[in-house]
Amino acid sequence: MLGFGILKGMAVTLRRFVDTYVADLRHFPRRYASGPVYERMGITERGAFTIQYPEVKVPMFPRYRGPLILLTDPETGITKCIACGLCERTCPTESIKVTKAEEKVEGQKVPATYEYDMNTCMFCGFCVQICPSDALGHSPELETGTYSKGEALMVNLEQMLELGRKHAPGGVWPVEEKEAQPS
Amino acid sequence: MTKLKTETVTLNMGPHHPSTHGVFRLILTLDGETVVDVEPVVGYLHRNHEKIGEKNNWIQNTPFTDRLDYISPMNNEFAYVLAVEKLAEIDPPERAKYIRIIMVELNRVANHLISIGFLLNELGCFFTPMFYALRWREMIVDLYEMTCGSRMMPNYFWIGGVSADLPEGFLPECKELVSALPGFLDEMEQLITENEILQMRCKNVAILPPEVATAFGCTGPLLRASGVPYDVRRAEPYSIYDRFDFDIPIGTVGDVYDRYLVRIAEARQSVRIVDQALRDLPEGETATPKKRKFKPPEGDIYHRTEAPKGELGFYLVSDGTENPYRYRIRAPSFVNLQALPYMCRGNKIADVVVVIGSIDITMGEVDR
Repeated sequence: MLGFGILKGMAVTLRRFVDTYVADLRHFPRRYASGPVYERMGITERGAFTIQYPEVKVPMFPRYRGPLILLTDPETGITKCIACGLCERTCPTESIKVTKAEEKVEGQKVPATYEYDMNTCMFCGFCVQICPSDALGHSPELETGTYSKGEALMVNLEQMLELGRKHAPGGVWPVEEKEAQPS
Repeated sequence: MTKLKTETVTLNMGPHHPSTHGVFRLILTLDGETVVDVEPVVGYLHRNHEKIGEKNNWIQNTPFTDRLDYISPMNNEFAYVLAVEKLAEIDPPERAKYIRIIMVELNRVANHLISIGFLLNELGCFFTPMFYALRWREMIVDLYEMTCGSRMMPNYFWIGGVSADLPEGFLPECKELVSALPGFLDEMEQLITENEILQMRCKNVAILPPEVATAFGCTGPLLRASGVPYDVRRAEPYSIYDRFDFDIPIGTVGDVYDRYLVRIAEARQSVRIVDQALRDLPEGETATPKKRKFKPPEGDIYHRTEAPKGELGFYLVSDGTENPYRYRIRAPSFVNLQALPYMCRGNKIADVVVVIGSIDITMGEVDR
C-alpha cells in the first residue's frame, strides 16, 4: 500500500512525542525545580528534555580539556611549575612562552613570566601530558569568548595561577570531584 | 510546432551552499533542469596540512589529523599512529589495541549516523531524522569527552598506545550504549527505510556500476554499495581486526538507496565489533612511556586503514630526524568525490544535492 512506509515513520515520531510527556511525569518535581539540573540524559531515557543552557549548566567531565591553568601547591603556596620550558617546546602551535626567574624560591626554580596565547592554542593537551612536575591543568571553562582577539586572549602568569587556585584548589588535575563546574 | 533552439545554462552552486558540506563549489552546466556536466571546484578549505605535517615533529602531528575528517577524528588518528608505529616497529600494549578498536568503531557508527541524517536533510526531510541520529552520536561523543577531554578533537591515540586509560564509569556506560544501539538502528530504519518518498527519490538515482567505481578508485560504502565486497579491514587486516567476527555488507544496484542501506548495515557490524572488543578487553598497561622527541629509522611507509568514508592512507617518509620528510594523505573523500560528475550527468538538478549527500564527503579532508 502506497503511503504505509510514511505512516510507519510517523508512528515512530508519535511514540517519541508521547514518551516525552511520560518521562516528564516520571521525573516531575525534580526536572522543573528552580534549582539547577546537573544531569546528562541517560542512554535508555526515551523522552526529550532540554537543559535551559545559559541558566543551567551541565558539569564538565573531569578530564575536559579547556584553557590552561597553572597549579599551586596548597601546602607551600608556590607554583608547581619549575620553568623547564618543556611545554613551550612541545606545543605544536607555539602558544606558550616561559622564562625562568633568576632566583629560586625555597630551593625551587619558578617561572618569571608565563605567556599563554589562547588565540592560537588548539587545546591538544600535550603540554599537560608532558609536564614533568604536573604543574599544568585544564580549566572546565567553556565560555571563553571575548569581544576582540589579540590581547584579550593572552593570559599571563598571575592570571594563570589565579585560575589554577580557582579551578583546582587541591593543586591536582584532573579534579575528580563534582566541583569541576563551569562558572 | 517547430523545435525550439535551446541553450545550456552555466550555474554556480556554492561555494556557500547548505548542501555542500563545507565550502565547495560546483559549476553546473544545465539543459533546462537536466544536468549536462558538473565541474567540482575544491580548495577553498586548504590549510596547508601536509606542509604543517613536515614542520611538526612526529608526535605533534596527531592533533592535526583530527582536523582532517572532523566527523570521524579517531579514525584519522588511528591511521596516522598505525603508520608511524609500522615505520618505527613499535608494538602497543594489548589493552591499548582493544581500546583503539572500541573508539574507532564507535566513531564509525557516529559517522554513518551523521551521514544518513544529512542525506535525509538534503532530501528535504528537514532535521527530523537528523536529530534522531544526532542524539545517539551525542552519547558516543560524551564517551569521548569522558575518556580524553574533547568531543571532536580527541587527540587520544599516542604513538605506542593511548594517552590515558579508560576512566571509571566508561565500561558500564559503553556496554549500555552498545546494547541500546541496535534497537536505535531498528528505530531509524522504521522511521525512514520504507518511506515511499525516500525510495522514489533514491532508488535508481546515480547508479555507479562496479567497474566504474573501481576505475575512479572509490572505496568505502560508495564502492561496497556497487557490489564490490572490498574492505581494508578484511582485505588486508591491520591492528587486531583479524580477531573479530564481522560481515561486509554490500549493495546490489549501486544507487543512492543502496548506499543508505549499506551504511545502516555497516553501523550494525561496528556495534558487533565493539561488543566483541568489550568482551575481550584485557587488563594491563595502555601506553609505552611518552617522549617529547621521537626518531623513527630512515625509510618510507604507506599504511592504509578503513575509515568510515573509505580507504584512508598515510604515506610517510622519514630521513631519521624528528620531523617527517614527507607527509602525504590519501583522503577517501577526495577520491570518492571524483565520481560525482559521472553520477550527476543526465540527472535532474535536485538530484545533484542528493548525490553529494550519498557520497558522504567532509571538506576538511578533501582540501586538507
